[in-house]
Parts: sequence; C-alpha cells; structure tokens
Amino acid sequence: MSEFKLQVTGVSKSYVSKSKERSIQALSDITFEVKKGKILGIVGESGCGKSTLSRIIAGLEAPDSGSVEVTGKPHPVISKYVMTNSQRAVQLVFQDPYSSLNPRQPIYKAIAEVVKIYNPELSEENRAQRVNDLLRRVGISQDMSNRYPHQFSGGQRQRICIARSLAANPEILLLDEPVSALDVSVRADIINLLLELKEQFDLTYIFVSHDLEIVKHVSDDIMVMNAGRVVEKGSWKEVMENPQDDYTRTLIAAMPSLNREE
Amino acid sequence: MSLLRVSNLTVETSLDGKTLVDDVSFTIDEGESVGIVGESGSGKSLSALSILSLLPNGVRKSSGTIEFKGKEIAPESLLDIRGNRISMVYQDPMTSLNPMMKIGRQIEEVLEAHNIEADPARVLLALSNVRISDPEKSANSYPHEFSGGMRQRVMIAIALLLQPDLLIADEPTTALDVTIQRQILNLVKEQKTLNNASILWISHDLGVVAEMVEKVIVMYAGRIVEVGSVKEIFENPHHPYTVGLIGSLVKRKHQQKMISIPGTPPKPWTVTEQCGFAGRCSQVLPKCTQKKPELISEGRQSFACFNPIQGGL
Repeated sequence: MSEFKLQVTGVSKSYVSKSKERSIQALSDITFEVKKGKILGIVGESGCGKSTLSRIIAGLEAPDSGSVEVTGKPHPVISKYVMTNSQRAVQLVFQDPYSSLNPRQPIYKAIAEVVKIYNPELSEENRAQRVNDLLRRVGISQDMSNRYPHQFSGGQRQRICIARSLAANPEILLLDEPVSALDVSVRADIINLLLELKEQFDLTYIFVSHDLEIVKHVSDDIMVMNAGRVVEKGSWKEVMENPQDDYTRTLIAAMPSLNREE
Repeated sequence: MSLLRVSNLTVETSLDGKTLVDDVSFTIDEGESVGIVGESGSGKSLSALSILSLLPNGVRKSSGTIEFKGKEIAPESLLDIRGNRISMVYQDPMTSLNPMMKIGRQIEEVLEAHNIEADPARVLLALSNVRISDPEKSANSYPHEFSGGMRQRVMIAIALLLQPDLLIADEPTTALDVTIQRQILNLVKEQKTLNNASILWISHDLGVVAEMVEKVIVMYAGRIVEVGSVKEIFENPHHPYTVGLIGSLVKRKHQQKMISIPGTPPKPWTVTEQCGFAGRCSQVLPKCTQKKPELISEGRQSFACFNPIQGGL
C-alpha cells in the first residue's frame, strides 16, 4: 500500500482556443503527493491553473499526460452521467454554495440522492437516518431539512454542501475556495468545522485558495502555482517564512498588513 | 469644518419601506481617509452611494442630510460636484467602462461633461499618472483589451482627472488578484498624497482598510456600531461585533480553532427597537432586545452598545 493518499505525477493539460489558432498550456508537468490525514494548500492567482488541476484530481477531466493515483490506484475519469463507486474517494466543495445546490430541491433530497448512489443497499429509513446524521455533524438542525437552498444563509449553504460531499464517504475532500464567497464573520466558523470534520471522518484535504492568510492557517504543506507550473512547495512554515521563489515572495509581500500576533 | 457631513441618513426600499440604512451619521475632514467596514447587507455601499445620489432603482433615501463644504448637496448642484469635487471608483471596472468606446475617448468625455476643453495631452498625462505604460497606444484601445488591474487604473485616472476633494472607493480591489491589489493600493496612496484628497474607502476586508485609512466606521445590519481610529479599533474595540470581527483575524496557532461569531447577520429591517447584534452577542443583556443602543462617545472613539467590552482584545 502506498504511503501517499494522493499522488499526482507529471500532469500536463492544454486547451485549444475556439478558433483553433492557439493552444493554451494550462498545466505543465505537475507533480506532488499528499500523505493521509494531511492538508495541502494550493495557492495562486487567477489563471495559474489551480482550477484545472482540481478538475483533473476530481476526475472531471482527463490530463493530456501524467497520472492521478488515490491510495496507489489510478483515479478514473468520470464518464458522463455514470457515477461509479470508484469516484467516491475524491469529493469536491466549491466556492459558491448557491450555484452548487439545485434551487428547486429541498436539501434533504440533495443529500439523500448522494447516499442513494453510494449506499444503494440502505433502506429508506436508514437512508433518512444517515442524511440527518450528516446534517447534524455540520450543524444544520434536522427540522430544516425540508427547506430549499434559498432559505439558508451563505454559511449554512456551505455547510449543506459539505454534508453532501461527506455523503459519498470520501477519503479526500477537494476544497476549491470554500470560504471566499462568505462573509468575514462566518469564514472562521466554516474553517473550524472543516478542521473538526477532518478528524472525525479521517479525511485528507486539498485546500485551493487565493487567500494566503487562510491557507497558511490550515495547511500542513503549501504548493504555490504560477502560469500552470508549481513554482514552490514545502511545509507551510518553510514556504511562508522562508520563501525561495521570487513569485512566492511577491505574493507574500502583497498581503495587506494586519500583522497581529496572538 | 468638515469636508463632508452625513447626518441621520436613512435608506429604505421604495416599494415597501424596508429600512436598509438606519440613522447613519459621520464626517470626513479635509485630507482625511475614512473606511467603512461591514459584511454584505450591512449598508456600507448604500451609505456611500447616497452621498452622490447614486442609489440603485427601488431604493431611496427617506431622510437625512448630506453636506459638502458646509452646504447641503442640492439636486441642481449634483452635476457640478459629481465626478468633479467628489468622484467614485467601483468594484468592477468592466461594468463601469463603456465597452464600445476607446479608453482615451472615455476620459475626454469626463472633461467635456464639465465644460473643459478636451486636450489630448491631458488624457495622456492622466494615463501615465496611474502608471499605464504607452499611454498613446492605451488611449486608442478598448476596455476588453485591458486586464482587470489596468481597467481599474483607468477608472482611477478618470476619478482623479479633475483633482476631486473626495474620492469614494467602493471595494475597488475586491475583484483583483493580490499582487494587482497591492499595485492599486500603492497607486491610490501615492495619488492621495499628490492631490491631498480625502478618501472614503468601503470594504469588507479589514486588512486593506487598516492599511488605507486613519478612521474606521464599523457597520452592522444597517447601523454604525463603532467608530474610531485604526489603532483604537484594532487594539481596543468596544462593540462585541467589532471584537468578534477583529478576533476572527487574529493569528491563531497553526490549525487551532479560530475565533468565530455564531449565527448570521439579521436583515436590517427586522431589527427595530433592539440592538441588531443581540441575537449573536455573548454579552447580551435584557435591555439589548428592548431598546436600540445609541452611538455614544468615549474620547475619540464611539460605539453603540449597552454592555461594551473594556480592556481591549
């Protein structure tokens, strides 16, 4: 068995523009690994390739070359409309919890749907129990489960999205800017919840964000991307306190100064 | 005399009179930089938009006065003030520039609107002032040919074109990447020193506000809850909401629980005769839900709270 939960080796991806004149290299030769139970933070600015990389890790898109392995086994690319148990291991949580929930579906159904796919053996009663348990774990009370997404606040909606991703019994959660769309006062709440859930469910996290301050707080290791390449990676301390790459240094210097230490 | 004085400003929805901004008063002195911080729905942008009568459709100012240099801003004097003595920069530069018009022409238009002869040299100077390389080529380009940061530079060039006394910046860097945000922050600081303009900086990002202004106004659920200098607000906040907000930023030990405020902000119109923060407050007293706390001053700092936190963070 592999020592790593996630191993990404030599992943490259390019897109051809609509007019077929130009080819855009979105990712070039990305290699990294994450140990079980660790949090890898990926930072970079818009266009650096971090979203393409998340899509490839999640199996939503195939790389041109290179491989993605979860617990030593190749992670399959999802074929349209067919979800199998093999995709279960990696689940995504997106930035905007409103656009990732169906506005016409009560949240109970949104989660029950996922339970049904991955645990079809459960009876209706057991499924209900599982949905309610997931909601409780993310701090949403059971009697709100028949409400629609618009009846919840942004922070609550993100909790619901997290519960839905947990319904698949994942091993890795890919968090793509999970708090960027939320108000400052609820961000801390969601971060605290994510850190708790990681322990409870024995998860490994990939935390993608442009917010260095938050990445620094949550990550064990940090990987900095620029223009489709990894420019620096290391422990959070090494990267934040002794950055080696010029681009990393520029990013850190650009953080607005609110340097209060506890 | 204050440069701008906003007194008892109240903004509501036109259709059903729901309060969005409740009795907001503040002043900005000449050359002073003031920040308004708050979350979405706190009323910070509406307060700023009210100054130049730019409230969106469906929302209206129901009471309050806005005085500029000691005189109330009358509808007929708006054209002389807007874009001239007070100008504004918005969050999204793409929607504030005309996509069908060349950059240079958009700058000329501002001059013409204020009956100033459009001098090409002045347009090029405005562009080079905001560090746009090759101003001649840029003046001849369309907005879509520019990156987000470059577009925001153009907006700043337009806003500063007539050397305004007050620049209102409504989340001008929120849509930008951090390294570009850094460039824009530095540019505004530099231009402020050059023009000695006052700044009203609206943001949800406390870090940016701390860097850009001297005085901070904290808004919550449509009301001002605390006002003070950056140092006072960050080191000795009194209102429990401010304390929570600053606390959520204080660096915690790596991967340890962050300080958070439970719950979510209420809609401004649902809080009438009570403190808007009462439902989330750890310091709540019975009277907090019976009476609206007024803003009271203690030295140069003021706060609206019956049970303020003393002794700093």
